[in-house]
Amino acid sequence: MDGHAITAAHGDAHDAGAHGSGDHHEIEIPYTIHPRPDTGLYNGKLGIWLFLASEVMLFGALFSTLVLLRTSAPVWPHGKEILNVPLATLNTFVLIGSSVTVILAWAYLRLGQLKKAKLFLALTLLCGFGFLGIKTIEYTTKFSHHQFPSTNNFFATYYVMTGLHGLHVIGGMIVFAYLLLTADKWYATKRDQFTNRVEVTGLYWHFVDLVWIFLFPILYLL
Amino acid sequence: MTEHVEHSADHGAVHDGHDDSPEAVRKEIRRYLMVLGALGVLTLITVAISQLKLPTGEAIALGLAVATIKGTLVALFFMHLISERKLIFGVLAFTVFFFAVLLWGPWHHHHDAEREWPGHDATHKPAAAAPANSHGSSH
Repeated sequence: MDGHAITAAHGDAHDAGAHGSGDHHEIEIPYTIHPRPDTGLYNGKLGIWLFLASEVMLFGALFSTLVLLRTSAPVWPHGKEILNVPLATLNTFVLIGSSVTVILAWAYLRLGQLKKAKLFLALTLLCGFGFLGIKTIEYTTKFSHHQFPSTNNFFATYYVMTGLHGLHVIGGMIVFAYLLLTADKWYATKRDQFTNRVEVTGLYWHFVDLVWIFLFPILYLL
Repeated sequence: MTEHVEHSADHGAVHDGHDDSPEAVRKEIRRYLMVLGALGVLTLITVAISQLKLPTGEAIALGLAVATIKGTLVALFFMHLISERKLIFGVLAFTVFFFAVLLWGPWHHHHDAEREWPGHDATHKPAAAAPANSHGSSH
């Protein structure tokens, strides 16, 4: 693929493709490594930031709903009285820790140390499992106490917000598993593109961490 | 006009705004670990604030202030906003504006309710509220 990659942004994708009869050229997504001259960013990074902007609005709608329900309700329970604060605190540390491990994976890729990068990717994945495991303990305990989303508005918002956040954790873990399983191949052939992939996945993971940083006090403590 | 695949020879240069020299990356790693420590301490402070038995309004304001500091640290250092391109800030400015609109809506409704429904207690203190369901448990 080296030397045959076609960048549509340069306007030569169509022509080059037309000349490639019998020789299957791969049309690569342009600017996966180098920044686009007009944006100053490689496409993956701009793409993930636009995606994160949409994610802010998704979670923003839920935070907005919580404000509406809480300020309108004659009574609203204190999360710290009915939720498990120690477990949630532990989960906060797990998620913050995973934010560091993913950024260390990216840093070690930039240093050219694949083994260490893979180790930190694996640790990130492990933290994801840890987070979900703790969340599962929380949920099952709540269910055993007959506290379901239908119980009241507090539990409805608690399950919807933490559930959606948990789905985002699972999504991130799937990508980390893919990156980990294909790391050797990607590193051997497209090292810098792989490094950028880890960076943009990390940006997503930090956003998931960021959402939890606000969910934790709002639902559990205040 | 080909986008060449980069290999290790490119390392040691400035790449997409990041200095990839080993010294710079090691310095970044130290910074990330310092931010990790700060986030850990701030998490403990958040939990401590919730135990202070402050009035609900003050507890929420303090808790959210600490959460905002933590979020800012994550965004600045882990998400590299401290050295990011202007375009990203443009995207974020739109996002922050519309997020603020989302939060302003229900808050505005909160004050409307007091005006339109005289019986509505818009100033009620959630701190004084009992759990909405008797199934409450601390487990």
